[in-house]
Amino acid sequence: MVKNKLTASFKNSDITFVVINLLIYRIFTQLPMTIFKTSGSAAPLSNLLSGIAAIGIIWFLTSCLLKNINGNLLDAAETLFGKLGKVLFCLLIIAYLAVSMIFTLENFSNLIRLIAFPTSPLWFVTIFLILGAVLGALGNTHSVIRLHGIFAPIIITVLVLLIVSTIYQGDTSRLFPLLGGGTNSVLSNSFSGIILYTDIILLLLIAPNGESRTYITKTVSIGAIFALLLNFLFALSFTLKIPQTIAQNQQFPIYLLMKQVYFGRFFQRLDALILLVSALSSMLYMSLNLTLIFDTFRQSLGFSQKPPVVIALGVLISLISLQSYTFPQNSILYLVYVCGFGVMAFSILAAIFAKVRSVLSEKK
Amino acid sequence: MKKNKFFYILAAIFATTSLSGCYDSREIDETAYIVALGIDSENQKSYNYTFQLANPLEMSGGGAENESGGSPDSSVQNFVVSAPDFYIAKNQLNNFLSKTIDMSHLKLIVFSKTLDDDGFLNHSQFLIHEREVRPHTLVAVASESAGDFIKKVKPTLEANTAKYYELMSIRSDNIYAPSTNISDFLDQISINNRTSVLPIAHSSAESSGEAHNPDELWVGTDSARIDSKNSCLRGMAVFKNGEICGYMNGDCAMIFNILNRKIKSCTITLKNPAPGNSNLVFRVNIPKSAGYKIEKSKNKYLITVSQNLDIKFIGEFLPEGFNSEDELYNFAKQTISQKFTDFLYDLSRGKRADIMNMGNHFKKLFADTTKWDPTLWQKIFESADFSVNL
Repeated sequence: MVKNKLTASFKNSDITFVVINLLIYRIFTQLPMTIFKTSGSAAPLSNLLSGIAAIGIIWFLTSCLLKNINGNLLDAAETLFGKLGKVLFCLLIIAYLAVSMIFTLENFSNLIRLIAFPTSPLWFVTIFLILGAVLGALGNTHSVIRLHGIFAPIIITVLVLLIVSTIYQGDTSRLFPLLGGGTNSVLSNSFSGIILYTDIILLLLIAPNGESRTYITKTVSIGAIFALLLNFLFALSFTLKIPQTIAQNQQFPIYLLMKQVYFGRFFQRLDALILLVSALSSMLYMSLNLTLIFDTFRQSLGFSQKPPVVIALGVLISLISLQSYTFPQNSILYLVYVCGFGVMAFSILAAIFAKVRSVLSEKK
Repeated sequence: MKKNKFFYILAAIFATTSLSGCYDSREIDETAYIVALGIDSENQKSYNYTFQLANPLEMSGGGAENESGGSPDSSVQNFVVSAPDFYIAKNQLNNFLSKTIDMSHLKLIVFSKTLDDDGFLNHSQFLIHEREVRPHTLVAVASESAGDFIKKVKPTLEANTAKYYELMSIRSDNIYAPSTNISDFLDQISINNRTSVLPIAHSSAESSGEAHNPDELWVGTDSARIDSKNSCLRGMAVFKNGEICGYMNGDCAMIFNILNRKIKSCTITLKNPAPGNSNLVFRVNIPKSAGYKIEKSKNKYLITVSQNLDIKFIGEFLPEGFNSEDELYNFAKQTISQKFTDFLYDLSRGKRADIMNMGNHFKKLFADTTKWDPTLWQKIFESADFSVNL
């Protein structure tokens, strides 16, 4: 077994902030909009239910997998399913991370361009983001995780400010009928909404050796609950404030909500702050993502030179992201769904196996 | 280690030099800012767009006066473009302006009342999708021509026309007109029964909306005139199915504002029923917006509107014709309640437009959209009885 090098001890608070950023960065993408459009007035309820389901899954994964298997998720796959199982899982993880990164880069580039650089070419923003992500990933993993502790509070503060600035002026009648298109619609949207939380898998790849591993479930759960609350409040704020007719033809919910903020002539626009935190959030996620892609390559294929792999990946992902308009519409989005749910299903399966094995060994 | 340091320094230099460029830079003196837009229908295939552009060089930025009577407002320039749609008009305007057009300071959009329903909907959609147009931009309907209104606007006590529009739209004490922004307007005329209200933009001192009945105990405010004949927002145009179905005067707009708590306080003047006595003036504070209750008895629905009002008589002594304060306040409540009821019946039977969005309260009774039928609500609204509790 190739031992995971990512075992440096991380502060539990840093891990909490990693969890929060992983679970809220998708607020900046078009993923929530796909749910808002189909859920209508039931969007907050769907969001809450998918959040509760995600918390359950996260608790199950951290408590079963990390407590019963020594190492990270890949070590668990090897222990439970053998070398072939590990390679297959590595390929699935790499596919998810790569697709998710392409999607994230494309989304954030478009969002940042929309907010601040409407006439500049898209590649200009893409280069800006990927450069930040690659430079971040070239440092060690500890630095990337530590950066979350510094920047995630800023991102959270701005999101809270955005929510507070919009939620109190909302039209509560937009929340009714509570079940929107009906119970079936709420349940299906709640299920698809779990995609907002699939990036928690990345945490399981780091083998989160917090200050005390015993408390890892608690640490992760605190972060996850906080992120769930932010996601729910964002959905609530969006539903209260943005009419369905206006949301139908738009891509980015945060952009629509941001435009609604109005403090009179004093400090009129939140655009600059949203621009800053969206750049920070995407760079943090992509740095972590690149680090983990490299680490997965290292553990499965034995790559040891980080800079060439990370730079090559950065260039490749940027090129694919810039050419994504040539792909069939929403193909990257569907790939994110397929790979995300695939990885999550595999992880749940691994956690169940780990739990069963642990119970059996205890009996022996 | 040295190689790594060299790489990082190189990357940092590359990043700072390449990413700190001036993409999307816009110099203020190279930009033409639209502050108001008027849309008139010329014929079925063409519109007249009146663009009011800010003239920053004429704006001193402070509170400098421009009260020279009839002199034109030099802080803005107006351009009229006839075109089949807004984008063609904007591009056409860009053809002869040396500066780049920017709509991020657009504060007021005025529609002509002769616009067809597609005209209102399409233009609202176009404008809300413009990146630079803010959702809270104020929208109004001109009593005559939208272009005329924009040309005749004379900012009083304000050197900056854009600031004048902004102050007009954000303040909360415009009692005699509703304040509707482009985002809400588009939403309201796009869904369900497609009802909305817009303030009426007057460019002269003509009457707004329906004439007031002189026999009423409620003293109408439409007789008030501004001596300087300035343009103003007063009364409201009522929309149903995306087009104007009627107009209401400033008093009705005040009732609309009270029931929705768009204003926090106002004064109401009533005639003293005792002959030969002066009018009675009451200060009304509105602690919260109206509550609605819908009940069904036999085949008829009764909509009870509960509005909590804090009414205070303005005067030192009990007016003649009243024996006690209770009698005075009962009279006030009854008269105000009757006026509110008349307003609701006018909406229900006359305009047939639920601009108070009572249907949204009714909608709460249903679990999901499959069970909620807006057309059923429309029938209920048009035949319901109204009762107002103050």
